[in-house]
Amino acid sequence: MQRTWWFSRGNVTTTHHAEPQHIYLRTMNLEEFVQGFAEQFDDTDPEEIQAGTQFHELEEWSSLIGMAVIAFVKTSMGKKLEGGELKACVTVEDVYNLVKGK
Amino acid sequence: MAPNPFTLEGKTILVTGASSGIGRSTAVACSQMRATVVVNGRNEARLDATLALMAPGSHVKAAGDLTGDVAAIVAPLPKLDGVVHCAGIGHSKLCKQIEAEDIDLVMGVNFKAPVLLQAELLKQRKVNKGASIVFVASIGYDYPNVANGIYCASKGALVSYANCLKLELAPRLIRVNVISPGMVWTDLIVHGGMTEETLREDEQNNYLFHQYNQPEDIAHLAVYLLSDATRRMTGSNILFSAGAKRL
Repeated sequence: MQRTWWFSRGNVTTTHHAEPQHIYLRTMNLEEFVQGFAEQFDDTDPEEIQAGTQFHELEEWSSLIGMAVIAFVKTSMGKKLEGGELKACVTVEDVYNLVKGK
Repeated sequence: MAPNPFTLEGKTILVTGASSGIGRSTAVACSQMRATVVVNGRNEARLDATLALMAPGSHVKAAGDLTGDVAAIVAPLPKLDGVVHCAGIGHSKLCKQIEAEDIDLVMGVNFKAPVLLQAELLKQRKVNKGASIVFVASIGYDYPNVANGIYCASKGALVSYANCLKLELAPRLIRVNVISPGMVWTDLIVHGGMTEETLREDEQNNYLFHQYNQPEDIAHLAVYLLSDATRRMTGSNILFSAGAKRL
């Protein structure tokens, strides 16, 4: 899958000697957030993950993916998401709304 | 006849540092076990020399410096069933002589580069489920040597890192193992600061079989770790000491 997002990890790390590029941080819309969320999964088809997806029910969901999501929120939006908060969310949109409100 | 559990047929294996030493031998051994091999190294001509030694196959040359733009090196690679991180450098300096540049150089090549390559391979989804990742460290990670402080530390860092990586890749049945060789006759030791005479003396006096390892000895262990024979083996660090007496 070609990932050309401005927040794509590939773009940010091409020059890995550089400091974190905060220029990439910005508010995402829901669609962008859902795609970034889906990119944290290795085997789940991105199409399977929508705003209303109850992500805890996905077969691949695990605490490891949860950590990837937390790191994604941190590096792409500069927001700190706690594990407990993520656990309390039901859908991907819940996570988006929570992060947006921070 | 029963199927050969050690075959690499149908597997695509990336070998770094394939232009010499353990990397070159590993690339050759993998090709002989019928893998498709992606060879990485900085020097194209020396990679060609490696390819010339390999058994025929649709092998891929991925020349490039892993301390540079690793994302660009990874992008064109095929999906991988195995990675052998062989690229590394030796270093010999007394602790009181160590400068910042020494640390940057040795940690950069021996630790930072494989860690960032591994990250990039995972980010770009180049590693298949059930793949095998092998790191070549050194017995030096736990067995001290005079004037080898940074080198040994760089290998220790790699061992600790691999230990964590195995946890993160286990859900996808990807295994992570380390080979920690004793002395191996490669450029790394021959040009590592000691004279060949000193090395021959060490080989005679301090190794039970009076022989250092040859690169192919390590390569064959790498093949074993890449093969389905070890599909349930992860988190191991195998000492390949050639019976070094002063461990």
